[in-house]
Amino acid sequence: MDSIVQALYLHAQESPERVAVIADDEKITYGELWKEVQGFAEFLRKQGFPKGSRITVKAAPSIWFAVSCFGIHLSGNVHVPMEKTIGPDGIINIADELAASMIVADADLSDKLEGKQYTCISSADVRSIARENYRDGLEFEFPTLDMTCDIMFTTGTTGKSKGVMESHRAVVAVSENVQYGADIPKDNIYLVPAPINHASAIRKLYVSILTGTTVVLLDGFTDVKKFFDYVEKYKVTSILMPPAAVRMILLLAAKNLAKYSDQLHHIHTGSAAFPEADKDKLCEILPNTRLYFAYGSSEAGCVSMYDYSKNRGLISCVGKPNKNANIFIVDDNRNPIKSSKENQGLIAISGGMVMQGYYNAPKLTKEVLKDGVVYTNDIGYIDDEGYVYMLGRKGDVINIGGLKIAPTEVENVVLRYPDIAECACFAVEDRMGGVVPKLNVVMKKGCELDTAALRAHMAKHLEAFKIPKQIVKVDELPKTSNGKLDRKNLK
Amino acid sequence: MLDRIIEILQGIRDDIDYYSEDSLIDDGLLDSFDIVGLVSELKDEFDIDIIIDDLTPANFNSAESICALVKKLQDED
Repeated sequence: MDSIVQALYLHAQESPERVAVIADDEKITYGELWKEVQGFAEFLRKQGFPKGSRITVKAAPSIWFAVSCFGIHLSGNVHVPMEKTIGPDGIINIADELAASMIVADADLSDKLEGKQYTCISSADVRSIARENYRDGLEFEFPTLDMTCDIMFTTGTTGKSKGVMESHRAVVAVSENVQYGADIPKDNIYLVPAPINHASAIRKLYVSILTGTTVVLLDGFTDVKKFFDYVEKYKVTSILMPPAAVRMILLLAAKNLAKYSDQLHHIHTGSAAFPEADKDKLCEILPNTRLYFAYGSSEAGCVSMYDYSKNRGLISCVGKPNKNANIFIVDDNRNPIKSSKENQGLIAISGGMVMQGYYNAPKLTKEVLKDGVVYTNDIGYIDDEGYVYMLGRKGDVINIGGLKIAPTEVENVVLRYPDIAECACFAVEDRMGGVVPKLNVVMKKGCELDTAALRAHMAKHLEAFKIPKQIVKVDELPKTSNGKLDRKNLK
Repeated sequence: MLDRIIEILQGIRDDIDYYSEDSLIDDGLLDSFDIVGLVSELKDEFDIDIIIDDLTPANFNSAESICALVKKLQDED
């Protein structure tokens, strides 16, 4: 299989009546989607763009988005999804930066297009344009493996962020990683309640089309009622849930989720640190559901998946490498090492799913990608059984006279202590001018901090030098705008 | 009650005019984290039980709609 749009074509021939995408309570079958995709590709072909032209799309969890995405791929052009909240100036910035040929957006840009080389069509018109341009007998060459498929922006508001270029080879490889890693069933119905321009979300659209199954798109988790309505109504069997969403559902609606333990084949979590306590709680309420934590990045895609419902207790484990991924550990000079818990290094990744590079940023690309290997800043090791462990980011490591402490390793142990709601481990200066690890903890309601008992708990799981010298109770921890721990502002 | 709800909202984000804003969720001004915190505070402050059927954008788009939800839940008690 050379591209996801080719998989769409094959499934449209084999099972044209099967539902491909559900969004806004509307369904489209594989047969209908393939027709509309051809129609939109034909429209793009008529524009006369050279192949490989960039078409930017203000994303939305909608059927038109799937039509435009695969239509762009089929026409041999490059799909660039942007945040749904991006404003007109942000859209123009990105289109300028990419020298785009067309913008698809629900914004009125008429006063900003003068002198620009690109045009804009309304996202509301995508499907009618597709239908108008479809006719029987249209012929297309499918994109080949090395053509650029997507450019994914790591953040989409300023136009200054990094654009990760992914080939069709990479998109197919990462989709296969998820397909085999999660053993996606043939009748899977995947609920994706996340911004569809995010890598983890769009990959679930791709894996669903690759496997000829159904994807249900939903605009995030803020409408909790709709989330559960969709799980019930569409008999959802798998869900993409970022750690923040897991935390939200556990706090607001754990009992409701528990009802679906038999219906749900798996839950896919990834993209950020995932507290061990939340994993434990999810295992408790969903005893019959596989619970995957996926490890990866924008640059290398999803490279390993770990079913923590089966292998409980392996703290910081991210599983074994997926089908198309090769994971190894290197030292600071990028030389491969034989790693272990005692001899940790940096995680390096190769395989079909690695990016082509950052758009228009060769210098930046060289810092991360060399000879097909993505060198991450993630500290980790691989055990004798081949399990990969990711302990934290290089910049976050606390170095005490050469002894290194990954804060997340300490935090994951502390979060298993029942009275602790949240915690953060970080370095502070000691009286001698060196650094020592400090721990700030937020207690669960009604719980008091028992420092001695907490230290005893840590001593069972951590070497002595990793146990924080100072433990302080705080009301809250600093967070970034997307809810992650703000390590720079810990005191 | 409206003033107290606005105080709670200001504790979550203090850069919004809660007297006039009516698209807190639809415009992404409050995210899912904020809603978790808000629901928890509303439960404690007004001794109400908020279930998932109540967790819709319409109920959380403005301070007034939150106030109406709290009153409805208190009346049902």
